[in-house]
Amino acid sequence: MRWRKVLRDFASNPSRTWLVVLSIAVGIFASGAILGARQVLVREFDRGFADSRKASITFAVSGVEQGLIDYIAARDDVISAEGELMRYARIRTLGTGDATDTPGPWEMLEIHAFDDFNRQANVIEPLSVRVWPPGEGEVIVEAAALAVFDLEMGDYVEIDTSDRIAAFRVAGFAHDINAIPTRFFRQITAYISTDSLKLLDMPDVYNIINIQVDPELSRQQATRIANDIKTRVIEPVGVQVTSTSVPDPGAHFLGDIFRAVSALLLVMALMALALSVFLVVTTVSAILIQHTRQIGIMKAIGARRSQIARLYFGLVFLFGACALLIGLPTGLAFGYFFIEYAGGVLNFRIISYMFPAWVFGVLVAIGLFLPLLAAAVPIMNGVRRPIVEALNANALLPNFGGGLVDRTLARIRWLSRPAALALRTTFMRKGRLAMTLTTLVLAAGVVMAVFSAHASLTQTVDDIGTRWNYDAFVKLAHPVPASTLLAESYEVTGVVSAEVWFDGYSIISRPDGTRNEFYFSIGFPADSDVAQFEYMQGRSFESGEKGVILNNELFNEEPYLTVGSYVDLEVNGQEVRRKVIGVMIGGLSGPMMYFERDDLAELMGAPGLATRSYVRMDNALAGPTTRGLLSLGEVRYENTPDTERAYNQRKIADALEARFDAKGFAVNNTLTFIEDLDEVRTQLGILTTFLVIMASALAAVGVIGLSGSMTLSVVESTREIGIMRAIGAGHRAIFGIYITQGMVVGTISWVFGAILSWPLSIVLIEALIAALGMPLSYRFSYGGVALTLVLMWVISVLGSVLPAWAASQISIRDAISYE
Amino acid sequence: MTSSVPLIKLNNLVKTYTSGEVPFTALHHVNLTVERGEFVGLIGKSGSGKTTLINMIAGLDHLTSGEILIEGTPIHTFNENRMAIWRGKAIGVVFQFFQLLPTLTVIENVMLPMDFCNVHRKEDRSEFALHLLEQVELADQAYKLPAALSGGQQQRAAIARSLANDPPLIVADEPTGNLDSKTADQVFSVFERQVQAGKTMVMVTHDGDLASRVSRTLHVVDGEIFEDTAS
Repeated sequence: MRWRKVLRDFASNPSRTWLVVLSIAVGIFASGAILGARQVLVREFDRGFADSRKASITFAVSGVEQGLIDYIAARDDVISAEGELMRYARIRTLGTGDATDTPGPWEMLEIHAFDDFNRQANVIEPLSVRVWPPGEGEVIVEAAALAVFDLEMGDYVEIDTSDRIAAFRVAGFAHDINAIPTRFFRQITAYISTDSLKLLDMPDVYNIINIQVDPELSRQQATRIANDIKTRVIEPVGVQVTSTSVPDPGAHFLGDIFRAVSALLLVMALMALALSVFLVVTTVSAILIQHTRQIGIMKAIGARRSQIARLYFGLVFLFGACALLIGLPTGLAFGYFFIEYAGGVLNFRIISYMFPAWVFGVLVAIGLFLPLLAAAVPIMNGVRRPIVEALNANALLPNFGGGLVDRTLARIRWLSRPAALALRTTFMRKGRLAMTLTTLVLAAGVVMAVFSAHASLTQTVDDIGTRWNYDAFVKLAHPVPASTLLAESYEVTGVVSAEVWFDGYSIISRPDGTRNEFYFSIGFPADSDVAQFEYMQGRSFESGEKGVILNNELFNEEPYLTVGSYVDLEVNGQEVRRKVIGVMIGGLSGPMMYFERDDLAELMGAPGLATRSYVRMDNALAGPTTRGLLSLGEVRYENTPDTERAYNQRKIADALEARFDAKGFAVNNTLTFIEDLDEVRTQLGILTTFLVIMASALAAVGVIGLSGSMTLSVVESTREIGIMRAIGAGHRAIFGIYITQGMVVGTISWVFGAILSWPLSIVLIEALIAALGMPLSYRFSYGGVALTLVLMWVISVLGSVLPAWAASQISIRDAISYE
Repeated sequence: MTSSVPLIKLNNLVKTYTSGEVPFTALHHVNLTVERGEFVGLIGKSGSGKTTLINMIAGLDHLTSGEILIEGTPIHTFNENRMAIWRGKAIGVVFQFFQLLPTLTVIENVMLPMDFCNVHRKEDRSEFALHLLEQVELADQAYKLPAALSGGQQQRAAIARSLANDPPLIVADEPTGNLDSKTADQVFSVFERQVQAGKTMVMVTHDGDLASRVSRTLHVVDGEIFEDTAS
């Protein structure tokens, strides 16, 4: 009989039952989806990265043959050694090879050639391939390229190494976790077998040696082996080592960002869980209040406290079980989509989407036991109430007017009565209001902080834009005389100024004796108009000054280097020492070092030469500059001043490329100013997307929380609704009162959320700075605060509309007979 | 609408409740006519059907069959929404437990029906509400919350609220049932003054003394009007 009461209580008030079940389900859903997705992503990332067997040591060399590789592989301290030929080139689609197909635009390409596709280190995994390894004239494309490249197996592509252009057939797609994800950096990675090298006029030698040593060895130990191999094996046979890389074992280049994102996800999961507990406590307390008289009756006819408590614990358990049935599958489904998205962005290959068993255990605990825990206090308070007090309990709203808040609200006389009613009823149950507000304030605070994070990232991109003064640039694969490059640049119609730079690389010899990093190095003229860098420390070059400028990313990696200190470098095999004269703020380009142009060209053995040309175009072509109009990741040529500028920049870049091609210069890459900024914006936009997903999930919890609170308010105000109906309130009037009540809560949440968002946004930006390793400009988004008010009203209406509609449908007879 | 039309006319009114296991007919083919200016008292035992009857007249419940005409308007054809808006203008309702909204002050409670039905100009509402509160001798309590008033004061405030839109008909379900005899007498006097001012009053009561002061008594027994007595 007792359990029949539990079942009847469960079924007797469907809207209340749904509310409690949904409150618990939202916790299971959000915690399950986020926690599960995080665990799967971390597991799959770790597995994928471990399976890839990232090389312990990588040498970039001038050229070696298989014999030397075999010699290295035979060493006792080496597990495996493999050679490959890596080269930067460009690629474009040719479609199915039909003459009518128009070639696609050129994209940057990193091409790898090797014999054995079943590699021991830096393993690539075939996904969908026609043949493995690819035959002569065939190419395997890293699958991340599909995000930006319209390509199918069997299609043809054209590869331009600057020495030769050749068509290749796409033999399939592979996954390489160590390749730069195309969505992060617009570059495609592809693999060919050495048989195809002749098609591209590439020498049949290796310029990269990947070595695997005992994975238990430390970085220091691996560095010692690397130095030994370099000095005692490679260099003695006359091969020049241009760089040596010994990464931290287990360190993926996106690892920091991924860990930061996953930490944010964990915080988010815990937050959703906490909010869910709030919802459960609120709703169970409300049920107990409604059942106070019943509890009194049960006690009066002999029920013991423990018996009554068991009944209500049973009811809560039933709610939890139903919530589990809803929250678990939906959480799994959302988690699946999230994993799919994040995996795609970060280029992880997800083999198993299965959540770890302990996650299921946590979710079952959240579904079944957390509600019992949350309900314990309200249940025990309810059953402890003396019989007489319980029997005389009024199921109506509590008294109004006792506290300062009530008295203050009662003094507001300029509101219409329905509006005053909505406002004051909001404050009737202050405990519940506090919990609802907590949920919504957090949601609003996070949403506004995300707006500020987005504004800060946009500001950062804009600031980066102010540090560069060019419209288009062309990078060459081989240096040409600087004066010729400059002169040819001016020959292009529309170019009003040009400046030529030099690309190189350098290796830092650290004070501890390690010299294991390879940094891109760029030389620019001391009187550059293009580089208007902002310096964290120090300054730019003076004319003829032999020094180096670090970007912030290199500065983070080599923190012992400060302005005024000297750095020992190996450039093109030469040992040199340079003074650090500045640290500039870069734009997610990776660690880089800047030299005065002629200094670097000379160090690289190419005095008087240059490898890239920056140009400014005629202002008439530029149109007014309005930054931030372009979409993320894609340049849209719409008829706006900024897109007109983008279009004209691209035309200039294409014209430069065509002229340089005609002159026999080996063009490696062209980029416009807007495209360059858009690339940075895309990278930062991915972070924003993760943050928006977080904020949206919190907002959804807020909607359910508000909806729950409003539903309880409607249930408790049933008799008041009847009274209002009796004195002339139509559907619209009742509906309006509850929508207004929701909007009052939404507006209060917005006010407190706006205050909270200020410190939250600072914390968020600090976390992003830590994750990205770059200084970000901070901008508090007042527009975001205003937009969030609109969003909070939308949330309020969404959260209130069903309860308000339910209220407007309550008939007078139901209302008056309500107990 | 002509004055020859009775204020209330019930034709063959039947109300059957079907929510229980066995259908229960609370009103059996009730016919009734009430003219303007009458003070009608409904008396009867608990469960006799008097509350059901007054709920039907006030449009608070739906009939099963028959007709309810108020000032010739067939209100039984109205849906819930139209009924609420019509009722706000045409009928003042007084409940046994006062049913003032606890978050609104006394004057705001009185002004609420005016806001819902929009019958007075906004700027006049406050003045009219105060006028009504003066009639029930509560003007000095206008800005207090209901919780600060005694039961009798709350019921007088509820009466003032029922008059907010100047309806021709006031229905009251045991309005003195929750009051001591002295306070009940004061409240009843307010009703009498309203009838003298031209209102029509239909009231359920258990109080024999008060029932003797109405102009017409309807004795309801087992869902039928057993006796219809004019004083």
